[in-house]
Amino acid sequence: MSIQDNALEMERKNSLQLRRKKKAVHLIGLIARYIFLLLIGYVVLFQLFYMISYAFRPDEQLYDPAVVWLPRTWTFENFGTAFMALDYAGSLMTTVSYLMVSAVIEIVSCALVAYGLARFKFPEQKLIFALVLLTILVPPQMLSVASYVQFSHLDILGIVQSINKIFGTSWRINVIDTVWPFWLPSLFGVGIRSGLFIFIYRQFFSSLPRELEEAAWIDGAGSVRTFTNIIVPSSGSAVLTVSIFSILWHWNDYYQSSMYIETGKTLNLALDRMTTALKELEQKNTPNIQMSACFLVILPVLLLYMIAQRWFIRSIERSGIVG
Amino acid sequence: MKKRKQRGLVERQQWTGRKFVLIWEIGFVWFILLPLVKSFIYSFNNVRITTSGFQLEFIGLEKYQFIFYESPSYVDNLTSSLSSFFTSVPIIFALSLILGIVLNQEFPGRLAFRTIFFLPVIMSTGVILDFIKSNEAAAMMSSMATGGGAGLINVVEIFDEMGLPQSVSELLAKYINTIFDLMWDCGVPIVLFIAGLQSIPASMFEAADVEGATAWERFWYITFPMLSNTSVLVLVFVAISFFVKSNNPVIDQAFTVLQEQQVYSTSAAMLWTYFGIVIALSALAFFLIDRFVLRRWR
Repeated sequence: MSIQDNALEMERKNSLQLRRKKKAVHLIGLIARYIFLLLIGYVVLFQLFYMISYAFRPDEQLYDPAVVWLPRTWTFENFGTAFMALDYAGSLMTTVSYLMVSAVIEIVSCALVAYGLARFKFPEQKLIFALVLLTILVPPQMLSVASYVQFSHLDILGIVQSINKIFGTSWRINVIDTVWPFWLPSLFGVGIRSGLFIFIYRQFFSSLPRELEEAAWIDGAGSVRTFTNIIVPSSGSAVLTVSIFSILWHWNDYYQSSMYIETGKTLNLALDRMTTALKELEQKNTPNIQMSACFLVILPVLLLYMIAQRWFIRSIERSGIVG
Repeated sequence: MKKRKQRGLVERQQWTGRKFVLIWEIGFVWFILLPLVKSFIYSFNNVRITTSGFQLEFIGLEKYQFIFYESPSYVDNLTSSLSSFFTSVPIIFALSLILGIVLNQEFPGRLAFRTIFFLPVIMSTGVILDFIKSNEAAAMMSSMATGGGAGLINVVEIFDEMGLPQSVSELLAKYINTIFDLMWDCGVPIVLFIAGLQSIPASMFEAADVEGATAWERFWYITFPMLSNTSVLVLVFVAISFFVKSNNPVIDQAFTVLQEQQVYSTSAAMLWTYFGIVIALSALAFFLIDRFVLRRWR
């Protein structure tokens, strides 16, 4: 009897010790994790803090050694200057009409192409999917000269050229400095990083159960109707993932905009040319004004991300990009 | 009778599928294939602009000879770009794998951390980063003069205070700064890794626990092999984004040649050489990875 009791007592003690040890290990692990994450997170956050810290700083505190992070007084004056130098309202309109519309078009067209690749079997399907992946690999810089020429002499199937030959004319369709160099590729599913988006959509559509679509077909819905009424409503997370990436990458685009936009300017172009703009406004080009301009440029997407991130990361998890 | 009808259905299905893909095929030929072929042709020709478009004059490999033997910095740029490609891609890969695993675990505040680690994707516009970096450099100079001001942790100073010799601390600081810089490219890979980790069924880890596997074994025999698809995707993504980045020296040089000197053929030759080398090397790398790393786990 007593031996049994003893053994029980021992065991309880042992398990208690083990649990305590486990708890301690867990706690150490947690602390180590926080230190690690904070250390690396600092690198990322540093730039944001730096930006904010300078953006609200008055001129006279710029080189004040006593002001490290928090300015003693906060000012919004820099934003006023930056707002003017960037021509914010105008640039924002350009960004939206050139790039954001292009992003929306891309979100839709890529979904259509991916649906065709995911759900219908035809002989050349594999080849086409491989080519889609190839488009991700091609750097835009390789295409830039030829694309520029193409857009300044827009011509499909040589129609314009043959008209010119027949009538001996030399007119051309020049779409440089219009929205078309952005909208057209997006429309055809070869816009900014479209290959990646088609890939994401395809992976998701392939994982959807077929039964829903079959039911829709039996009820007499055509393929387009099935797509809009069945597929799109059930792929919210894939659509959200693609939307956020597409909007972000369009917003951050500098290369394409600098090539195809001549008279207007997107926010990134405006930021790049701010030094000249400030000179024209007879304003000083100081770090606090530069930083407030940077802050103004990323503010819309920052807000968008803050609002959407809760769903965003979860939806990437669910969208099965990675199979 | 029945068979024929079935074939009709299959054929109809094929055509519906083709209809969806048709717009992409047109776009691919028009906006990717044609420009790509044209830029390849440009690299073998002298290109002059006339009112009716481009006038080409065939010169063979002259431009390629020019960039290798006469252009002052192309070969240097090429080697530095390639060597940094092969050092930074593995570092980004490892860093984002570690961060992905840590961020995937349950702990209070992980949502906040995930938000933070995705921030680089938003902020890493070339223009904005250039501004911040140049400002930081200026601030560093002024803070050296006045002894104040905000700056990133001065790594060299910390190591100095720890009593390390100057040369060692400088070397360490260099590596740490490289890692900090590469942190900016980790945003998307981290998200991809988190997604990949989520797709591993929990029952596998439970089984491993029952069998008494250590954390180390669990990582190498479950997590890592199960992430092989994700890893390939991440590698492709990281490699591509490194390759197409505009601050890449080769791309930068080709762009300068194009913009400032308007020499299309030289620029095309520079890019095609780089593209060819990178494609060949990454094909080799992926073949080796596929053959000797991933196969072992399958």
